[in-house]
Amino acid sequence: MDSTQLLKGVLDVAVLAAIQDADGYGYDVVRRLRTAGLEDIGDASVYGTLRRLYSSGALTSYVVPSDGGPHRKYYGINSQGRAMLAEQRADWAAFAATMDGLLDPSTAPVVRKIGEKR
Amino acid sequence: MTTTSLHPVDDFAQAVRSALADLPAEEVEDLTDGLEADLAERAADEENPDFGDPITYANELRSAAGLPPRAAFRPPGLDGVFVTTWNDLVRGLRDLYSHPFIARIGAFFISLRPIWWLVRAWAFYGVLVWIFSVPSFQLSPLTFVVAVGTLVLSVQWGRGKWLPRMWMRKALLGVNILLVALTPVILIATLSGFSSQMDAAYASGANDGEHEQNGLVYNGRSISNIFAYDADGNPLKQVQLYDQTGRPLYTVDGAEELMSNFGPPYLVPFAGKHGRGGWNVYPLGFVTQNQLNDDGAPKKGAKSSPSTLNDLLVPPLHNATQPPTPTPAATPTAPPTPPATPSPTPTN
Repeated sequence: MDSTQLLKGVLDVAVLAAIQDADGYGYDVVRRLRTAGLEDIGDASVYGTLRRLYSSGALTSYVVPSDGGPHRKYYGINSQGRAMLAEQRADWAAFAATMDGLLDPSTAPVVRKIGEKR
Repeated sequence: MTTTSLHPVDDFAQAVRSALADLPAEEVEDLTDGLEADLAERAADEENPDFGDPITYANELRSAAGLPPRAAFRPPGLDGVFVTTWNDLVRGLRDLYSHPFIARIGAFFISLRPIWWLVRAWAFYGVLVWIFSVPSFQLSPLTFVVAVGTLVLSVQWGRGKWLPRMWMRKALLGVNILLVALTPVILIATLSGFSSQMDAAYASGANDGEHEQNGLVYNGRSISNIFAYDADGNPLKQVQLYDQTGRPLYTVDGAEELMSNFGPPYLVPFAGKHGRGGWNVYPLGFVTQNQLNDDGAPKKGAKSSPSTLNDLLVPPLHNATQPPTPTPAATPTAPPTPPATPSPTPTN
């Protein structure tokens, strides 16, 4: 299955989780997510998500000049972001449990056709 | 996307911004702020950094940020059409400018920018004096201050100074376009204003700034006296002249005018009419200087002499039975000499 399709639905919670402990700039967040195992994540998707979360008030932002190079834009989570993260974490847990239950071969309901031999 | 560029990160970031150009400038700025730093770091991380297609990248950025895709973004309104056209124009010019020859021509014109600053200052000055109805060439402390002020302002703007806000730079573009359109008008208006002021100065100088052009002028020459002849070619006396509106026709505007403009002989009005009335009775007689008062009027009891054109032969209109006998020649204008009369000759 194409994991990028799956990622789309969880980008917000993934990005929020990646910066819940420490502020980060764009590529820093991408690196954390990839290190965590989301290797296919596109950096533009992450930057766009950061921007959108910032617009909706879940993140704070500040610019840090770098020596000689272009400046970096840092994002940090705020209380609204933490509330959003907690909510989405619970949503994900419920959703994941449902999917686990659905996909677990041991608990999967066995459908038999009429007349099929066991 | 040029792969041979020395600054792939900058080029890529620029291309991404171009692909987002349909968005408001602030949005693009927020969305791509720090992009160079991120790309540079990614390039350092990867062995063969390949950022891919900037447009795809921009679309990913856009959709992740919750912004509508480019195609669906713009309703086909006039505003949208203008923005697209403008962006296409800017991009087209940028592409054109990448051509070395065009770039060299462009560099030449860029070096002429100070001239434009001067023209802009001039146009700006023209607009200001027009708004406040100040004669543009009248040197006064006000026009001096305005001229210096517009010059300094135009140059500072040209150097990118005194425009702290982004919208001011955009407004300046509008002002520039307006001034370019207005420059011919302002130039013509100020120059014609200049020449009309010159004309006025010339005219007032010619009249010592006191009078309008007075008296009778023919082909630019002032006429002081008029001589009329009848059908037989004989000089007429005491001819009263009027113009097409029935007003008396004066060659001069009084004795004072006559003295200053014409000098001797000092013409005087016909004494038979009161006041100024005698000035349209031609030919005007004359007096000598010692018959005039200090104010130029003839002294009381001064005797005027008749003016004649002694050497002028005027042929009769009808078939003359005999040609007029020439009279002895004198000077063309009436001299303060007695009218020519045949000198008596001894007969015996």
